Amino acid sequence: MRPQILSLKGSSVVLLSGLVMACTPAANMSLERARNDYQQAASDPAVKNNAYADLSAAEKLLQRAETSWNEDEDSEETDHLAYLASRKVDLARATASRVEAKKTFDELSSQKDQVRLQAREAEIRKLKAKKVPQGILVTLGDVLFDTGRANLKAGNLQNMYPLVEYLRNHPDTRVKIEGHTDDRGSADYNANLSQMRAEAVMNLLIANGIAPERITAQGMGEDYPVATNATASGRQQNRRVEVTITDMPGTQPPAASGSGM
Amino acid sequence: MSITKTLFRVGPPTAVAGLLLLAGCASEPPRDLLAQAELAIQNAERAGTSQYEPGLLSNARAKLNRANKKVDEDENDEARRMAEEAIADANLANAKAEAAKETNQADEMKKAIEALKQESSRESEER
Repeated sequence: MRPQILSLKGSSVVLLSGLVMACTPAANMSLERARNDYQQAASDPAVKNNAYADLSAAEKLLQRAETSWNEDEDSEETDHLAYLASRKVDLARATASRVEAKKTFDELSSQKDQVRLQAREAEIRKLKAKKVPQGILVTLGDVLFDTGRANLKAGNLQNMYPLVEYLRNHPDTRVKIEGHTDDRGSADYNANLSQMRAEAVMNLLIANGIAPERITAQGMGEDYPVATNATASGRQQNRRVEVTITDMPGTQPPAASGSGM
Repeated sequence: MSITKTLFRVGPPTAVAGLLLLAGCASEPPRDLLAQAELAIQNAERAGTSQYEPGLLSNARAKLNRANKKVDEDENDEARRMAEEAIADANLANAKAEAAKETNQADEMKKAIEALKQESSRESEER
């Protein structure tokens, strides 16, 4: 009989302590905390709007914890359910902050595209470039050269700096340089002069660190006027070096596409 | 031994309590929950959670270990609770890591935009 009595005694003690707890005012710390957690999250618009599903799951768990406490006063199960409810509230908060961060990211992404576009526009303006189907076109006027000469005039070289800087900042571009003249003088003379002028511009770019394999230079002679050759100002416009900058390496033989990103 | 008498007097409730305890022991081991917990922890690990939420993740792992131990001890109620809490911890770790990653990306984007703006304002000053 003795062992049985002992075991009964043990159970009774457990039971008695349970009864004592039942008599104290119903309060369960973890349940209190879960209630507070839930109420705070539920009154937070960011959580309510972005993590509604998690929030209602938390509410259900909280209700189960309340039920467990009110009906059974089973503190172990109540603690457990309250814990799950609090964790679910935390999950709702995490979900809400993820959604908010994603929104911010998306807004910033489209803003970035715009800023990048503006930066690009600013660059092109600074280059005094024109957009053309192949890329952008910079026209260097005849001020770079003396009449009939192909060496660059030192005093006007600052006109070239924006171009050099642009090409340095965009190593993935290629440059096509074309020399043009007016119709004064023979066609051969003009073809030769325009070739030498195009090469003078090319050499200046190379001297300033632009990789030679990115550059081609060609004299086009007098055959591609952009204005009339009948007036002095027309002829001045025709004497020019056109620099076309392209983004696509594919427009040139692949073998030459050594310079990279 | 008046105490013994008292104990016998409260006999029936004790018997009920004993039955409840027995019922607790008789419940099935929560195999599904244990598997779910393992999966949730693995998912969280794969999401790189250990980098962002190492505390929560090791919490979840410890609770799963405890749950397995409780199954061995035939305390299946406690095993269920531990498995459920392990799942909750792992899922929370996962969600927090995802939120942190998303926040990082937004911050990176912010920096990139600032850099672009500075670049273009510097360029327009040079004009």
